Amino acid sequence: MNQAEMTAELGRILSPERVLSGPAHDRAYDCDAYTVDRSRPQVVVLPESTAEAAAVVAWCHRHAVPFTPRGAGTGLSGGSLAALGGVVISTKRMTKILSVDVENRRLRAQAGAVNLRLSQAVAAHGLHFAPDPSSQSVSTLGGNIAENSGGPHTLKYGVTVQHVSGLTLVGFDGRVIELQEGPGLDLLSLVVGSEGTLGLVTEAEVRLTPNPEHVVTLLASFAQVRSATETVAAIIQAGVIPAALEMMDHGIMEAVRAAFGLRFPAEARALLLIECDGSPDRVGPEVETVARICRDHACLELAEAADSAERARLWTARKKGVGALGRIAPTLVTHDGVIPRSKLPDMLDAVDRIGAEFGLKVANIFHAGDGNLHPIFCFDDREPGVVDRVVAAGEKIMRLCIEWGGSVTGEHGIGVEKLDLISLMFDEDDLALQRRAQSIFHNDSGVNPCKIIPNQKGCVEHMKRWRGVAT
Amino acid sequence: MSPERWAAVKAEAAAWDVPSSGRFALGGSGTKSHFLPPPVDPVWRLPAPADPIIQWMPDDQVVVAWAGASVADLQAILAEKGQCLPLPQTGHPDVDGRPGTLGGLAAMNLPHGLEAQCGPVRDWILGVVVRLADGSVARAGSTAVKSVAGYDIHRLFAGSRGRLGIVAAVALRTFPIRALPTTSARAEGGSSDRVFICRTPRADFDDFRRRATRVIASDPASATLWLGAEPAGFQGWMIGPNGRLQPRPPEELDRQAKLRFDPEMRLNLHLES
Repeated sequence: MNQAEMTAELGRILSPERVLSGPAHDRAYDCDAYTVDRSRPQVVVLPESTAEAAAVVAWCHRHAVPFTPRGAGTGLSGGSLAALGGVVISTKRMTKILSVDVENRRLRAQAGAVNLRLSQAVAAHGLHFAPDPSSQSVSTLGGNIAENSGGPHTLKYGVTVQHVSGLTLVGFDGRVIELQEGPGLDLLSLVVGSEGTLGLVTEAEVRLTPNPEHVVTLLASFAQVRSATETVAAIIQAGVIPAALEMMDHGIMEAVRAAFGLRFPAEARALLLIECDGSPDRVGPEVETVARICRDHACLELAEAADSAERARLWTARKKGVGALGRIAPTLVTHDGVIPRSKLPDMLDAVDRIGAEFGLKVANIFHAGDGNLHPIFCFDDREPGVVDRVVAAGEKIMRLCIEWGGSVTGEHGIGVEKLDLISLMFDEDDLALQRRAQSIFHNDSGVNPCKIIPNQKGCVEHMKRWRGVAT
Repeated sequence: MSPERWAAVKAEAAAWDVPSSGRFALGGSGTKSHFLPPPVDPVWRLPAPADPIIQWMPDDQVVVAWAGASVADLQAILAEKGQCLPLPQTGHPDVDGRPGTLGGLAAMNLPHGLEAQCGPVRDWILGVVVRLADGSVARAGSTAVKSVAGYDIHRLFAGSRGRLGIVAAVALRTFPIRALPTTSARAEGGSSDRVFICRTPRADFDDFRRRATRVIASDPASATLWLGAEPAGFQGWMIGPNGRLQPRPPEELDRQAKLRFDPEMRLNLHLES
């Protein structure tokens, strides 16, 4: 079946204006935020309901056409790369919040609803949706579910799977499956984090979290990176579970200083953003403990937000840090790995060494509280050979993460990016177990193939592309 | 934990004398047998390890332990460094979650009195080593407190009641004792030789509790009621005696899960309907 025929048939199932094809759409949908790899879809469709999505998937199954779900396309591991000859099913016309139940702290929304909009919808009731990835102003509930998204507050509040109480999944052949929390097999926990490989999530019911009574936000600066990382370790060991514990190094500080005029002590090489929340009687002692530990580790300056405006200002370095790097280099690649928190000081030293070894500038932002690091390589992709060095440096960091008992991905997922690396973490028996789990839902190579599990060949047309020049 | 160490755990589990043919059931210490039908096949129990701990990283608040270890023994060791699994220790068996072996704790994932504040047992599980009925041994998850590498099969095994395979070892997140919240669960004086654990929607809890007869314990924070008599129709889910689960899981997927993990249908068949 050629593209014209597909477009026509799917146009009859949905409506012609919601079936996209052609060069402009190819480019718009040929990658997500993992831009080093691209794959053109045959067709992009925009269903508006579970029924429409199911009809599309059923059609794909009948015609042996693979499909790939796509939310906002902010994914960082290529999870929404189109399959060869495949359909991309976008959820961007399924953005409705369907119901809000304040008393029971539940909200039901379509998968294309934007993460931040969920919290905004219930803010007046003193509630929010806890998972807060950096992409939250754009990323969708469905995408958060696919990647089991985290964010700065996961240390205390958990990741997306802890906040999903039900969902609607369109299975491999278009069947509609309702999953709900309960005492039986926890299939919800398989679908959350499944990166769109078990079916297409069209709706979800989420748990809402009461806003904390009291929040204190601190920003500590340190002259040595190691002082900051050792502070993180000490805070955890002291039995404090802060709501957020984020670290930024001098690479980020340089960028936000230039971009936003933020000022830090001249000798500062690392920042720690620490947030404590809860009841006033618990927060006070927690903050005192944290402040004492910062001082014990020679912090240069410890700022405490006096109000919500100042809180927003203190968070700027964290929330706008990666964007600000755009002033420093035209191309950025953000890596994602996890190591035990106690290994943080050693890992940052290692990232520094690896950056130097490969001649690359690297800035570090991470969720220090759960050992989830994001080394960001800053370079110019026009420089010959630099991309290979970035990939090699990233792989070296990931190997250390595995060796030190961590994970190859804390948030971004395996996607296509880490198909090789997952084999370093899991052996053949472990991968066989992964295949068994997938086979509960289907044995169909049409459901977002070539993601997560390696050795599925030839199902994504990888076009490594820099500045429009395919290689 | 490094891949090499995981491999060593798998090798040890592979060497256990699990029946290589025929049907068998899994047993622990029996603390939660009330909620299960009696086994009809010979019962195999995990070896009780000399040392519950496989690897403990106190600075990271992560421990890997053998499933055959007793939760009480593990708690005693963790307490030496001011850590614990956040189960209430009120002395009331139901509020405390009826802990026995670590494997049983994971396999049953029963509600407990600190669930609202610290999460269900499932949320503490970071990784598992499992041995399937066909003898294969594999690992899922990791010792990282946050990871999205592959499917969360360790979470699937939590609460799976041994139907999918034997949990041999568990990687767990620990909790600092000094930060442990107080449970809001209360024993209510009722007792019974039958227990029904009910989770209601928050808004229904007070009314349901008032209407219920024979309340054994209640926890408003997690909207959980332990009842000594089967409740009349209510919205929510329930774990009852003898394997009763309400609602029943989606039949087709539940059947597929069993078929994929235990295709020869050898394991814990008394739990299949």
